[in-house]
Amino acid sequence: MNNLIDQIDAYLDGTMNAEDSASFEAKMNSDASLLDQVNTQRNLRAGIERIGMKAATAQTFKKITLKNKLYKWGIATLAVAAIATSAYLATTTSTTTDGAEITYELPATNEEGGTNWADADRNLPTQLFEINPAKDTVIETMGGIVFAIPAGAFLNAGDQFTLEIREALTPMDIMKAGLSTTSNGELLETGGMFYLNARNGEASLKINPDKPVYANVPTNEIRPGMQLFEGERTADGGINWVNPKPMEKQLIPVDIFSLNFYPDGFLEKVAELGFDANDSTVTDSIYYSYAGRQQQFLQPMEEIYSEMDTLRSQVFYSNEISVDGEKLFNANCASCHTTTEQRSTGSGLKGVLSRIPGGDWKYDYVHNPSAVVKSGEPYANKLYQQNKSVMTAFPRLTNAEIDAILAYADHGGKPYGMEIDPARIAAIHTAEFQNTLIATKEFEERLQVIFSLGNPGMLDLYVNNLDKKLYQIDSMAMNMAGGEQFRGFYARHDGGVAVSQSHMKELQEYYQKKQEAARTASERTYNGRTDEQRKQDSIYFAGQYEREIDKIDQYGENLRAEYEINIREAYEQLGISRTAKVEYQGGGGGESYGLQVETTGWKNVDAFVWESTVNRTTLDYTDPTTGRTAVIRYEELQINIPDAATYNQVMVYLVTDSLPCFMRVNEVNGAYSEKLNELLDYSLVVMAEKDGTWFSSTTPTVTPGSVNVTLIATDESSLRNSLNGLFAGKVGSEFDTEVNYMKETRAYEVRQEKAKQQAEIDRQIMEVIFPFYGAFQDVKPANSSDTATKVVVSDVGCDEARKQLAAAKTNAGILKAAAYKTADDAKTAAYAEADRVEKSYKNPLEKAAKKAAADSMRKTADDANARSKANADAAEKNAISATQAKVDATCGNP
Amino acid sequence: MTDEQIIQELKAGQYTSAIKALYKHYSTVRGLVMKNSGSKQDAEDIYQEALIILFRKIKEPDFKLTSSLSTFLIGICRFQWLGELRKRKISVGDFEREIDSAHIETYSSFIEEESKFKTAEEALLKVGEKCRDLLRLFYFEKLDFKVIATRIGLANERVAKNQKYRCLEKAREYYLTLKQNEA
Repeated sequence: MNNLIDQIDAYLDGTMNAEDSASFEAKMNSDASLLDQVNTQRNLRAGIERIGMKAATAQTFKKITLKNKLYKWGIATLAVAAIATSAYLATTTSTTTDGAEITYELPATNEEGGTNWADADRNLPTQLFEINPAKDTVIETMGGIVFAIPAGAFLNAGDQFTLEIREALTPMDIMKAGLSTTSNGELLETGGMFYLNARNGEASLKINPDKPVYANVPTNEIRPGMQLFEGERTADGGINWVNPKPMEKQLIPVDIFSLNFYPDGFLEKVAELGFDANDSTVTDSIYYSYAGRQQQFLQPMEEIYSEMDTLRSQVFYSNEISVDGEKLFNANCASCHTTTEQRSTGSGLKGVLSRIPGGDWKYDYVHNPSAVVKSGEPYANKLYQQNKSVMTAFPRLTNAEIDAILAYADHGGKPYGMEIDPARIAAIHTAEFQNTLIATKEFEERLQVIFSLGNPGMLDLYVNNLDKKLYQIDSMAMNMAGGEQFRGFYARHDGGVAVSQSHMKELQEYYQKKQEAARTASERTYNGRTDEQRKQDSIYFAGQYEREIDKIDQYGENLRAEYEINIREAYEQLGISRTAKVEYQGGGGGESYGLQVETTGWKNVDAFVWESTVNRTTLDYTDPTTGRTAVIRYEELQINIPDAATYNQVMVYLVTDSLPCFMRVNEVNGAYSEKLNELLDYSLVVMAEKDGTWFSSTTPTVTPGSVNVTLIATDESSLRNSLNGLFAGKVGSEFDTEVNYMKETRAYEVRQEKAKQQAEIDRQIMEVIFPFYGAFQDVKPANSSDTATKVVVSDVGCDEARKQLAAAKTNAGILKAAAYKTADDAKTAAYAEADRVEKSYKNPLEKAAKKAAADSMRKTADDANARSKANADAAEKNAISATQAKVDATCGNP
Repeated sequence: MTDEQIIQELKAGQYTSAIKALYKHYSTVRGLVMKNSGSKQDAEDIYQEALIILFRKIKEPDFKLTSSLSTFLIGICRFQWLGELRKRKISVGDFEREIDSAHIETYSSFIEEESKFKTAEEALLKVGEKCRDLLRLFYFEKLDFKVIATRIGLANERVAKNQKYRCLEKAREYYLTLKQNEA
């Protein structure tokens, strides 16, 4: 039975040898109950893993909560550099434990293998913790000391070791333990002490000098000059404190350009996008080009979120500060305090957090200032001396509200935007900041956290306090939203780099100026890029509009000429002679034709020929009187262009000497066809363009049926030359316009494509450098087709989108008006022609028939007019709706 | 830590540091859930579930991560939360549109696969705490019986080993009953 469980385990672990595994599988295949049991065991193991993983994640979450709690106390930290160290510090108590076992029995030997014990060893309980040396472990003692024990902190620790801790943190404990507070006979100011030892079995372990244990000892206030003493047991059972060590780590500035001041992942992304990530001039210019760009996505979000204050506090700020500091400040403090350095009745509150004592002082003072002054607390008394009066008490403000007010006032009243603007980095990653705390590995690490929190106020804190120690600045950062992440840095107690006051002032000014310059440069580049694009596009659109008008004109001219040819032919076939040229007169320009009427049957011919010409359908008319017929055939030509869809543009033209202009053949569902008039000789010209390469094909004579076009690559000038030569003195010059048009279209598409690519690059980089960017964007992968448009949409701000919408409306309006006018002109012309026809009866017998013909012409004209207008309406709607979508997306239409 | 480092740590069973590194994405998920009718507890739960899925997948030899860890985690969380909103009959609104459609199938198959193990987990929650710890230390922490015995206060290695069989047997019984009830 047990054997089977082991076997299944071995099988699932993959530790069976190949032979056993194969025979086990064979058994499984034939034995359903075994298979069941294997599956059950597999699922159970997965369930156990779930429990293990939940425990692991819950522990981390708990640790972070623990950190939040500790941060409220304010904590002094030291590195325990030697074994069996007792230390003392200013302390208070706390109550949490972390699974310690407590014993009052002393082990056989002390940490040095000796048997001498101090009274403290005997009187204080020992807390025992089982530690896995392969893992980073954080424990909290009953007194509230937090020890961080890195993996491998103890040498020769084996599989598991035991940590022994004794602590005396309150004056009461210290007295009970009989601990002295003397160092070689001199009295020490004391708060608390602890003893630390580690054992594997009986043997005491040594700390790996490269991986010291960190201890966080809770305190109300960080006092300068605190030192770590080692305890030496004396013969009378006391402890003498020796070897004081300062608890601060000195900073060593390095070459600032050897440090990585980019957000995590930026260089990898840049390399992935094909840039040279090793060339700092390239990477700097890319990163700094995003200066100010966070505004594009933050601004619309800010607008939305300002309407939803509660939500905003949850999303934008950590839970510690979920109240609106600005409102509270204005309601409670603004009458006596400013958020600048300027004194009013009370002090100017800019930078307040870096001045006031730590711990609960701020709450106590705001709740009841006179009590704090009376207690003799020095800082409150200093304020009292300065102001000659005590501040009004605000007993009802909660601690969180006080935090929010101070956080707001501390940075000069301006609410911090989110995200670290690359301009700020451009300002500090410079030679000017060499030999300051900015040029240290320690700052480099903090910068990564600042990036991930996206709080520029934190960055400013470090830049504006160059004269302070890093851990002092860390403690200020801890007061800000998300600041709990600085707890770990603070715990290291990193020092500072000396800098003179005047130099610091210079650097602060430089920081402001350089930032501004970097932002302006980036904006100029970005606006230059988009403005140029917009300018080019508007030129292109204007040209396209002109061309549309020309196309309508050319169509009209061709129609008139073809109608003239057709009607002449029709009369000839019907045997009606003409004395003058019959010309279609647009706009009813008076009598300009005349013809002899010999029969009564011709009267409908006008209408039939007109309709046949407009609709390009075969005219087949029999004169009811003479029985003679007029037939003008229109027959279809199919133009087959292999792989037409693979070209960027394909233009098909029919050229005939008889008409003033060439005819454009439009694409319908990927096919090109046109009906040819049998009276005319046509040549076929096809031009195409693919990725900037030109192709052409010319067929001198085409007849109804189908024609296969072979496109041949050419260059622009030979294309122009050959077309000009071919149609010299005929219609050739018009092709120049067409080639120009195709060129412009190509350039437009290239611009669009480039803009799209740029937008995609922007998206990918901004996702890396701005942690909040992703939260407000679709996290769809880049290859989905609508992402690019979405990116472009999000790339444009709300105001910009509104401007574009207004422009689109104007443009679409102009185009629509032009289309309407053309349609109406055509209709007026057709009506005039109809009127003329109606009035042209020569005897009463003809009158009714003439009227019918005229009505038919009017109806055709009405239909065509309605159709054109409907098309124009649809075009307008399309043009506007695309930009409207942008506005909706960026301005957050409800 | 880069994604690659995190993955290496997970493969090596170094969960704590990996979870710490992955904690930074939690704020995004919390924002996402709380913006969409969820509580902080909900956010923590689905984030934990997403981490579990990630850890399990990373350990599978033929699993290949096709996106960044943050995309994967946030995607799984979004998808889970969408399901939860539906289950609670809360209007999903625009939330659904934000789902990463390219990965929907992968995500839902992962979530479904994981839900099977929840029954096993439930069964294990019914066995005693000591039993559960023993199984966790053996199967998850991969400690040997000698260490386990000292950890949970058993006389020796042999007792721990026997105890393991018993605990697993018990869990199996509960599991089979639960499954029967489900069916």
